[in-house]
Amino acid sequence: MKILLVEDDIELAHGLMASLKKEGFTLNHVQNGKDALLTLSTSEHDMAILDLGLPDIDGFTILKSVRTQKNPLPILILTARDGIEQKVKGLDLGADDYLVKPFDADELKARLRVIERHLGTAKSSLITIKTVVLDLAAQKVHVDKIALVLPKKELMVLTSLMENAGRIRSKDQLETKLYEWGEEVASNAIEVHIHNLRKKLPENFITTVRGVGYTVDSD
Amino acid sequence: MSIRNFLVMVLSSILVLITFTAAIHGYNTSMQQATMLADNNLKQMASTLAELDDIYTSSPHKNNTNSQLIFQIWRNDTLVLRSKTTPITPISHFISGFSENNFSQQRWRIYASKHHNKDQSVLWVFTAIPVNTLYTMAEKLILSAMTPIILSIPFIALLIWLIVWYALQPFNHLTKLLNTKKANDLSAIHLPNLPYELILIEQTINQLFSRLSHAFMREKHFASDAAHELRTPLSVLKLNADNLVDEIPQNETAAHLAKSVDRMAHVIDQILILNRTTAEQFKQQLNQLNVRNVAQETIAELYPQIAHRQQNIELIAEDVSLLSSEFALLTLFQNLISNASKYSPEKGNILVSLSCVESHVIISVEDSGQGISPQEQYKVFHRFYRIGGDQNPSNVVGCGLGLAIVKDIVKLHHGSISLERSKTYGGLAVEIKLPQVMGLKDIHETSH
Repeated sequence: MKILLVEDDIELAHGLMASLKKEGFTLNHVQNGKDALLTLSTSEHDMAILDLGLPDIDGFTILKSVRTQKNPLPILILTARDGIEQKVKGLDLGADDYLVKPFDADELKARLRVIERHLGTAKSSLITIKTVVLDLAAQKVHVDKIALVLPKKELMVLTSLMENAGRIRSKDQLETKLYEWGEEVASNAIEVHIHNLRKKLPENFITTVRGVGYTVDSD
Repeated sequence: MSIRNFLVMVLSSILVLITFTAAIHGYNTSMQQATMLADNNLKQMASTLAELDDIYTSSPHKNNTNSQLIFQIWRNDTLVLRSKTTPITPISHFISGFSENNFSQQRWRIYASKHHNKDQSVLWVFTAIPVNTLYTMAEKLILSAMTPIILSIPFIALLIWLIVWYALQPFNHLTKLLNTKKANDLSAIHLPNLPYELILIEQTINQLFSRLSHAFMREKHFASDAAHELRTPLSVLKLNADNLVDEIPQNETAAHLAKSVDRMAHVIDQILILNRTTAEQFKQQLNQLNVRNVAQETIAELYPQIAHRQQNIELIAEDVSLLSSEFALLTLFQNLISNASKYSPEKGNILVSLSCVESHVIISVEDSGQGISPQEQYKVFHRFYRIGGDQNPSNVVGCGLGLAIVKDIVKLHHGSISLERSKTYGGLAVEIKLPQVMGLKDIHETSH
């Protein structure tokens, strides 16, 4: 995946490039907002990592300009600004994710992979957790190499959980996901889907975090 | 006591005092005038009577006048003439001049004069007037002068009250304006038609407001500047340390380095949070929040750390709302839940519960760790205090600010916090009680 890194701190950019290269990401680096806008308008990137505190143009301005041009390029904001208002503003302006410095490299990689899977440009569209393999492209699930036939809604719930493995998906988030795909959602639908999935998947594959939501452990 | 009441009281008192002093002084003067008048009358009458002596030579005279003036005429120690009501004994000593004496149940002012007749006899003429008459005369004089003044005192007092009230109106306007000003509003005040003295006060207040607002801006900018300045180099350090650990996985030095960087990042984070949970900022961010949503969000955010330690976390929550700042409430949950996870063993348990009792939100976070001994309980709220100091047995990243920040946030809500032993899991139970809606008074107090 080709990533444009917009970051004015050279040291940080170098560290990031070294770290992400190992994971198979290709990074192009620009140091200021002007170059960022130029590069974004001319060359092809799969996504961008954007610092907000640039020396010439504010990161939000770049984000706005990209979105007003109807450019769907996924953008992950990487910033030292940690205020909730800033985060909300960033996401409202159309950023796909928001990460505050100092960040955990593993966390960044995990989030980049989520974006990659959404784009469908991953080298492999397979998500493998324990004995469960989910093929996003083919919309198929294998458990212990045996194909598992799942109804559409259950597959969507499982996909959301496995894409965000290690993190909690709340009932609301899962419901929203079903709505987004134009599905009718009954009040206890999620509980029913989870119940059905559990019967078909290995034991303890889906964990309930009582009062919060559901999760699939990443390892 | 208000300036208005003070002025009205003092001015009215002075008015009454001056009036009565004037009355007393006037009474004395009138008395002197009356006495002088009477003395002249007595003298004139005496000399007139002395002239008449040749005509009335013997036997007491029975005059019919109703005048209060009385007289006696003595010739060679014999009473030759007297007015009707006059006693027959001498009413005065035979000494020339004015004197006072008591007779006929009254006090009299008497004038005695000695005359030598042509026939060589000595003639004494006594004329007298009751002293009472003098007093009555003086009183009449003074009363007619003072009555209008005394009667007008209430009206003058009312006038004073009105004038003072009018003169102090600008003060009242200023007080009202300052009272209704919101605590976070540091804009300049302006009142039209202020008197000179208040213009100075207004200017000084406005200068203070402007300095205060600059100071706040500086503080706010300093915090965000420091955040940016420290966070970016820290990210570089962290990234490189992580890369180093990846490149030489078995190297202990690299592992230590990575851990120290994490620790530093944590400390800087907490210090910045501490500076951002001030009363001023808290008030600007006040909002009705769904506490359960914030708790869910926090747990979801911290879940990787909890799952990593294979701990079990549960949230038992009612749907409760709270007037608070999202940042403050998130920080509160983050510190409590992250502490619970850090100080509980692997595969330990954490229970977060939320309820609403008598319009107070009760937040409780319990864990299955060691708990905190009663001796340590009051110390853990001190900034930078860690149990066991840097040799904290838990071997986890911490800087001793977590509970201090929690306590600050609880204080902002005018709530209370207590540490107990968890009944469910045997570890620490932190129980926090926050009033759902702070009174406006409380919000005002928070700012001062």
